[in-house]
Amino acid sequence: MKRPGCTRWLTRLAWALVFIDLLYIFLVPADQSFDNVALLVVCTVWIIFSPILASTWLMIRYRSFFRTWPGWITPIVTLIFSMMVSQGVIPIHQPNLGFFFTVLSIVSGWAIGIATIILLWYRDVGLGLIGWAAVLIVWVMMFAWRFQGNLMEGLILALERPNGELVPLWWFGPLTCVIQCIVPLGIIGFLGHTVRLIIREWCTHNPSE
Amino acid sequence: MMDTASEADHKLNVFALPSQTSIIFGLIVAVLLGTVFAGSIGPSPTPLWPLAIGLLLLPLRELLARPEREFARYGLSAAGDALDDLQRFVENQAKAIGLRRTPKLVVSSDKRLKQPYTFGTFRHWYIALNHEMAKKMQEDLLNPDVVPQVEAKLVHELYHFKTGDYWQLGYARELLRITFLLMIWAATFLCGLGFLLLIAAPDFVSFDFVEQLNQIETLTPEMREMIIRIMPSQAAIDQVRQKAAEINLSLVINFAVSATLPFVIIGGLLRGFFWPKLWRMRELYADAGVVHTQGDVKPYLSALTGIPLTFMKRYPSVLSVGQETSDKQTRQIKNRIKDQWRKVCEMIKHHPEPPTRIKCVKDPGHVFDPWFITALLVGSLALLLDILLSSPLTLLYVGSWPMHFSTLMIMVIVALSIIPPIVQGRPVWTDLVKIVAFAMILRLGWALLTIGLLVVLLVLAPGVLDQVLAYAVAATAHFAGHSEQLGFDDLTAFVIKAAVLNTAQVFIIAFVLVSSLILVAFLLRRLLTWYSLPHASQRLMKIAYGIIGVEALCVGLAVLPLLTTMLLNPADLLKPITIGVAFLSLIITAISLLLFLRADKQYAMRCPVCGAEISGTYRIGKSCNTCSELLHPWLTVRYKV
Amino acid sequence: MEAAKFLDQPENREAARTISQHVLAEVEPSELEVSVGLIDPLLDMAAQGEMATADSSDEAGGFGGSDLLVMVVVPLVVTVLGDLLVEVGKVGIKEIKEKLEQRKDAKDLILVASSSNVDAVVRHAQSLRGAGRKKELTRALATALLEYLEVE
Repeated sequence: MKRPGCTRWLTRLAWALVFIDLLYIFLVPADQSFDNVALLVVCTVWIIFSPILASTWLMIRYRSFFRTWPGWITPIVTLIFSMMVSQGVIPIHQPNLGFFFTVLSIVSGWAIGIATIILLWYRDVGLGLIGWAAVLIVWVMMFAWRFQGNLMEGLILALERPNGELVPLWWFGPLTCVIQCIVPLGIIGFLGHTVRLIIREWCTHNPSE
Repeated sequence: MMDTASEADHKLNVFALPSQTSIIFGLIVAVLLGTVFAGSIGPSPTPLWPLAIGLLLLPLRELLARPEREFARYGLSAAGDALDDLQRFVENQAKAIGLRRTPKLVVSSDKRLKQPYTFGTFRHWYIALNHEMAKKMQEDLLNPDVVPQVEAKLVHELYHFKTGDYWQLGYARELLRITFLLMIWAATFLCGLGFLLLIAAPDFVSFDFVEQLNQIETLTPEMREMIIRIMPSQAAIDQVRQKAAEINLSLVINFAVSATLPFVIIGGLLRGFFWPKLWRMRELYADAGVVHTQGDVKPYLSALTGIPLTFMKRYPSVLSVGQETSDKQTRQIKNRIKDQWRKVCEMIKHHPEPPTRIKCVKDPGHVFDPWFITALLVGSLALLLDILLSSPLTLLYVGSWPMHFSTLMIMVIVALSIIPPIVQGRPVWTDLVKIVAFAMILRLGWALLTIGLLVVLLVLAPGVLDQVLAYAVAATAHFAGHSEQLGFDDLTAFVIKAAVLNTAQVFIIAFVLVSSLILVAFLLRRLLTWYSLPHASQRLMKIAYGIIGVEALCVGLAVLPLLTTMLLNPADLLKPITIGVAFLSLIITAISLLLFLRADKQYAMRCPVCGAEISGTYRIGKSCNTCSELLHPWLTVRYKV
Repeated sequence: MEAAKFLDQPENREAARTISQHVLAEVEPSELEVSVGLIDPLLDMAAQGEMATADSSDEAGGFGGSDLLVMVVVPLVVTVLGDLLVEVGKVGIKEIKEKLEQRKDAKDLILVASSSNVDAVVRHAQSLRGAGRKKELTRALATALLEYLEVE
């Protein structure tokens, strides 16, 4: 078990990382060219992985929020919004801001997984999540097909786009991300809680006291 | 203790007879699980067996999870050392009533927790209390005048574990909740899927994947080739397209709604009326447990009413025979209507009214419902079952004999419900006929209503009737969405045949029920004269259940199928499976009857002590004329009233 | 007059018991059979100035409440009889009858005494059943008193 002092330092480090990344995103010009390939690689890896690591720790640290339903929905909403920006649905003319939302969409996608793990660790809602996720997919696709036309064609056409943009199917990315998190984690969560309940039933002392 | 052993002193031991709580629990489970299992047998475009397994196992899982939910709900925690005396008292009481484990006391400061209540899993039992109440109870243990009251409350809770109703209610609660949620989910999902297919099918049918692939300029010929190789063959795609074109998706949506809606409605009815009845019944048994344990009604009455025991003890007969001083006819109509309305409102309460509880303690025979309530229970459940079994999920699989499941259910429940009056020596023939008649009247009413509707449509709008029937058949699981070309050649003939067959089935089944129940009643009454059966207290009721089971087997596998086949498909009478199953069940029935007759010759009508012959039927409190030995003492209990 | 002194006399106690039975028989005949044996202990409580409180809880799994009407009727009868004794200034029920025969406002006195005490007793007993039947209780009590005390 980590000592409280260690936890505090890690939290401060995580916030510091977040601050540094924000500084980088907003101060370095978005169209900055790199002569050194190694530097480019390092910066790319840094800008992707450091916010992921920082957000992972912060979510664990503030897990009491993320084990609630509003907490779980927060990264999903963030992903949807940042995808809308990065896909051009909400136009933004500031390149650094655009870059910020692109990084945010990557981090949010990861954060959904962490939030789902935290939620499922504390709450036995795996089966319900999977079930209602299936309902969500079906109804979203139904409305999308109704108002946006043939989705099969749309997805194939999206392959032709130079930047891999999905507009007008921008919602497909967040939906896929959410489902990819929910289904496997939901199954693991459901089975895990079931095993836990069975083990606890056969214990002499019930740890729920 | 009573000094003279007279018949009036011996009260019915409700625990020796079929538990009404278990019967209602069995009904709820049979209606919900039974219909889903019925639907999961045989082919179906919708695989139902996962639903059946899920509905069976998920409530069990939720039952195991209940303690942690209760702990979280009220902020419960273990009682701690400060309440050791109370915990020890609970342990002693648990041992005294023969519990195999002691429930743990858990306490909370939550003001919502006003009374002690029980919950638990199969191996972990809890009694939850408010902290203040627990402290008061512990203090009261030091006052000998108040100890019996505390004991009464705790023994009442302990009896929920003794009778097992804690897990029955836990399972039934979760089954009702999960059925409801699952059906809502299924309806939402299937409707969404149906709409999606409805919208996407034309695009899918006309979509040429290879042509689309060729339009993507960024793909190289090799990549195109690789993707085409991964995709299904053109022939396979054409086959799927053809099947998709044949599907009538509005029928799919219709199937989704009509398959799930009956479960939602019936689950709601079970939850609204039968669920509170289950709760009320368990309380009556727990009350009986208190007076059985304490041998006196006064501590129970004191705990119930709050009247101190010291005041009650001054009067020898607190539950004296009441005086009907008021002629009910003189009560105003307005008040009588209000009384009836109150009775209706009581049907949704979790506890019986205090006068009912006290009456049941005074005379335990009141725990068992009168014939009218039993008739209402079985009649309404049978009707619900008939409607549920007519839903698309199950109609085809029980279509050949839709009334059999509900008929067997009526038979078993009525047979179990006549055991208490037989034990009390009351005649049951008229009650039997009345119960069956009531149940059949409900069914006949339903049959006549549907037939009436068919006839009206036939006369006024035959075209509409044709469409409605075709739609209804197409909505069944077998045809769901496949075709709407299911017209009827001769509508009039169909309506007449349906009217005759359905009406005839009601009367035939009524006759079968009355006959089989009269036979069961006769055998049960005879069984109760087996005074010299060794270990009768453990064996007699099991034999009674065996009699009912064999009778149900005979009726369910031989009598009803043969009669229905004769009525609907006489040509199928000579099928080997029909004859085989009927023959087997008749063999079992014959063997059982021979065993019964043999045992009857050995044990019936003879005193277990002196061997003297005892004539007449059994009634509670009966004793041998020669040696005054109380017969079947395990069916009686004595306590001070 | 204190209830203790009033109920000490056997004829007063008998009057309270009989009137309580009549009221119960009128308002809730189905309860009379099981509650008649509780009248005496409740009278003893009333004599000591105590009142049993009803419990109307219907929480699933709990022990359950006891909201018997007798727990309202008996204290109500004792209270009203006590008020009449104070008003008339007599100790025994026989003397009350005689005194009330002479008074022209006897009927009004009984009606007022019946209606004025119901609220307080129902509230003290915390009886939901009683709260829903106040009019019936008042009417039944007034009728029973008028009948027993032979006031026209």
